[in-house]
Amino acid sequence: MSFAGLVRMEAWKMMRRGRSYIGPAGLLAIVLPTAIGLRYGPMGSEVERYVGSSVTMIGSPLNALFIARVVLPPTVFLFLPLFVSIVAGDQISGEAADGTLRSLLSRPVHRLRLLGAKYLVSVLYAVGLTVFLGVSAFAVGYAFFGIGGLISFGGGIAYFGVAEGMERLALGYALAGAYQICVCSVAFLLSVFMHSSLAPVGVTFALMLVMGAVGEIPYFERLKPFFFTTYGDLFLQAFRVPLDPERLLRGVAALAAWTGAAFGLASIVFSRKDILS
Amino acid sequence: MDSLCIRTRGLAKRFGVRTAVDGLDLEVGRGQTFGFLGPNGSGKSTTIRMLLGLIGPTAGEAFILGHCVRRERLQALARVGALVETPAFYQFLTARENVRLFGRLSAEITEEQIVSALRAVGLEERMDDRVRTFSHGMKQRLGLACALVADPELVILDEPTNGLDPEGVKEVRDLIRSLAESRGMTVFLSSHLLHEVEQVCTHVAVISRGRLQAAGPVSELVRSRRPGVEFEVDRPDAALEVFRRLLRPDSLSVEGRRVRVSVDESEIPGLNRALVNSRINVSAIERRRQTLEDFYLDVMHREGAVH
Repeated sequence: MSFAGLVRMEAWKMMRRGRSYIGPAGLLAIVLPTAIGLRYGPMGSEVERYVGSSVTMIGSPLNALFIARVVLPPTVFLFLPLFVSIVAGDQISGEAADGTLRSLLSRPVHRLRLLGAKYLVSVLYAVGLTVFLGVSAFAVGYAFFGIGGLISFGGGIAYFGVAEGMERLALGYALAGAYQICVCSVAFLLSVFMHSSLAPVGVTFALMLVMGAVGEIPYFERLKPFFFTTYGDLFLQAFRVPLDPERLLRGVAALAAWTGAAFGLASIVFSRKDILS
Repeated sequence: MDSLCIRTRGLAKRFGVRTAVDGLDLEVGRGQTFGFLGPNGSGKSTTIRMLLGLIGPTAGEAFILGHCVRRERLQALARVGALVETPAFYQFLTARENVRLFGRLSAEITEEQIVSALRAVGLEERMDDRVRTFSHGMKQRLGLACALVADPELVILDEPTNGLDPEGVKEVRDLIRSLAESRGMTVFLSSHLLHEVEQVCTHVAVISRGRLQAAGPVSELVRSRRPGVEFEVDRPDAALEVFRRLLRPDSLSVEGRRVRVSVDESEIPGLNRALVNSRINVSAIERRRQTLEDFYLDVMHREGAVH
């Protein structure tokens, strides 16, 4: 079967699997309460008061762009990696545990093509989920508040008009997506070694926690640039004034290196792996 | 065209210090229904996995339909249908979807072929049901449908009757027989059920501790063994002692009051005389047809795998 055929097959399998929908459902479960809380709860007026104390603003800072921006931090660091690794970490390990990997590889299927198809579908899922978050947050925010310029916190308050705000958000989501691709690649690599679909999720999170913690210890400062978790907050750079292209590129390059290394190692291991399950 | 469907040369697999398969030389001709026999842990499944490229050999080579499995895996498996151990499926898909998915990895197949394969294994009525609702026996049948749907030249079946009820075993036996007889397929069948193998296979190989112990046409192998004779006696233990002095121990066995020996016909009167001289009453002497099971147990006794 051709590579395109294998990609179609893997994508179809993914769409038929219930666990693929945990991610979108989980993200909606974050976006909707956030919008409802800001619209009807005291949180919205607190935000308005906080912004009003720093800058003079006509109208409310709460709008579609604000909702799309405000849901980014918790999802990028926790929920997106969780949902992405549930799917990517299951790709090989889940099939090995179920025995379907044996059934697949008993056919005239090129191992690396199959691995490549599974990886591509996982990456598309990670990207798709990030885009889904952005689109759903924007749509829900628009429905509740309408549209307006973007107020962004973090390293001071920044205000962008609607057009620039949209551009900044697109860049922020692209950087968040790059980080999710990296997490996806790590979970996918672990999936090649394991025979349980949940183990790669646990180990990916353990790795993220360990790297995050070690990176904060001053003694290991020099190691920090080599941890992929260091670039988890790269999306924040999209809302800095002015943008720092060098820092952005350095972060993207580090994530790309991790992504390439993880897939390369997965390919080497998988092409030589004895299928014993 | 290579007249052999499967050929292995010095095929070996070691897992650490344990040798699972040790220098296996196997030849399976086209059109044969080939039984691959051996006790648990003898290396049957490891051999099948090496034939399918699921695991790499430590030494030696395997060839399928003239192609080296290690170097030309895709060509080697292009015309092969396989059922390896417990068949595994996507539980969230229907039987039809599973057959379509696995079948299309081997060849372009039509919906008609899918339905026909499911009909052949008796799953036509349940083909649009999700596999998670299937019993073990039904999954076994579905595994057969997946193996057959792309109309392969060689079918490799690892314990295909596992988990089937007696009726299911008979249906699978008839199906395997028809694969070779009416569809001209070569069948490589690993099984513990010697009776089943004897009924469907033209050739067998016996493997123990990773080594080939015997191979050849079933009829020749069974004939090669000396005929069996059963003496029904009043004191079987005493009769066994008498025979032990006269015959090789591996040609003797006892079941109730019957002592079974493998001897030429000309030796029967002498053995009877020896029993009578030892005051053992013989109530019946019966010639017994040799079976594949007798042959297999003989080989295993010789190898020390059965006591």
